[in-house]
Amino acid sequence: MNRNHPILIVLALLAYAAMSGGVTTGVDRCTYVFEKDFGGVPAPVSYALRKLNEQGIIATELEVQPENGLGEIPVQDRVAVEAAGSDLPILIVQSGDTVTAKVKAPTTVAQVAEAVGVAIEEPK
Amino acid sequence: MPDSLNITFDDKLLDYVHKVDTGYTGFEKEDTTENFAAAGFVDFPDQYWIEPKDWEDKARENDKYGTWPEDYSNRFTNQSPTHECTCHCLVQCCEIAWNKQRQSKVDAVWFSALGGTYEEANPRIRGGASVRGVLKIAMRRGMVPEHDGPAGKGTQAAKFKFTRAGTMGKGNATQSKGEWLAFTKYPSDYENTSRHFRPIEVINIASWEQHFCLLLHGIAVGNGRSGHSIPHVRAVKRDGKWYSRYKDSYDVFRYDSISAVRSGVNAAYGIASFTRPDDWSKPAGSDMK
Repeated sequence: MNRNHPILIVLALLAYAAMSGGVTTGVDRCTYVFEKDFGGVPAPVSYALRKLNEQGIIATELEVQPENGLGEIPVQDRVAVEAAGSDLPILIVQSGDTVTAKVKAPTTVAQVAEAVGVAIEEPK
Repeated sequence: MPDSLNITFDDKLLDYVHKVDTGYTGFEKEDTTENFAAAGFVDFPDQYWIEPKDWEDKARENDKYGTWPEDYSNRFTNQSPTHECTCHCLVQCCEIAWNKQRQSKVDAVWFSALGGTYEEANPRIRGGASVRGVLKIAMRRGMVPEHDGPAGKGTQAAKFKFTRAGTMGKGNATQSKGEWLAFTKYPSDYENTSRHFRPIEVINIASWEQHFCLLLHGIAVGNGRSGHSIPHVRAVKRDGKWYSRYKDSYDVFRYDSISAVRSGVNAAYGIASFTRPDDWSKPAGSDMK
């Protein structure tokens, strides 16, 4: 059996994922954490988050001190809030509860795409 | 609508004043920037200020990236012939705030104008409610979802423990209509549902320029002027002049001039932050069917 077989299979899967627009990075959550007193969310970042949602990644804008219905930090946001600290605004990228990337004050689609490891086309 | 800086609209849609009472008559004394501040609404954030000379660039950016408040709105509502206007306006502003933070409409929730918050604000049914009054109720106990949802008729009634008809008015294909339920007859645990849908921070708008700045930042602006409360969702230009486009609760877009926007500043607000669920697929958490 060809010992390069497993490598070829991985390459084939990556190529298929790239062609089909699927996500292969393991990233499943991306949060732009901001404080309104430091400014709003840049439009290209909002757009990029929306595109990530279309790829199956939960991507949201989060103003600091978020609350769920019980007045607590929402369970799904706890990792991002802790990782963000007070260094705002910041993009927190996660795979499960693991933070895989942090980007301080991103302003472009490309910065978000690079942090997540996916392709996001600029709107025409 | 690709080019917000070069739009056309019929003059009949400009600075429109309803000939009938829509529910915002006589509340000018209650709805003031001073009373909004006393109610805990926060000042306009300095960092949200955009110099008017830069508005066109920001508008082009919103066109390009689809980041106007209008882009986060799911639907029209129709209040005719009721006095529910401040609550239809509030419903739009809350739904836009929810969808904007989610950056998707996939987990949209439709709120009821009756349950959020008209049935509590005005037990007399007729006569309307103030902007400040309905906002304070929403911030205290939250919005009640309506029976219908983005997935169809009755879909929200099937998943939330408490829902209300969208309106006692005409409604439409995206808003359920139904009978009045006195607030005193709400189930004792209704807040287990509504508490999950609360505005947390509300911005107190102090000038017509701040109104436009919030639209340019993707935040809907609710206000009250000329006897009617309306949700503004986009800044547009026609023949070189700025206008504020709003989703009137009569299934139609209309437009306010700067003069009309200025007249509504005392009762103008934007929702800066909204509650978020533990899990977007369960927007009311464990308080779901």
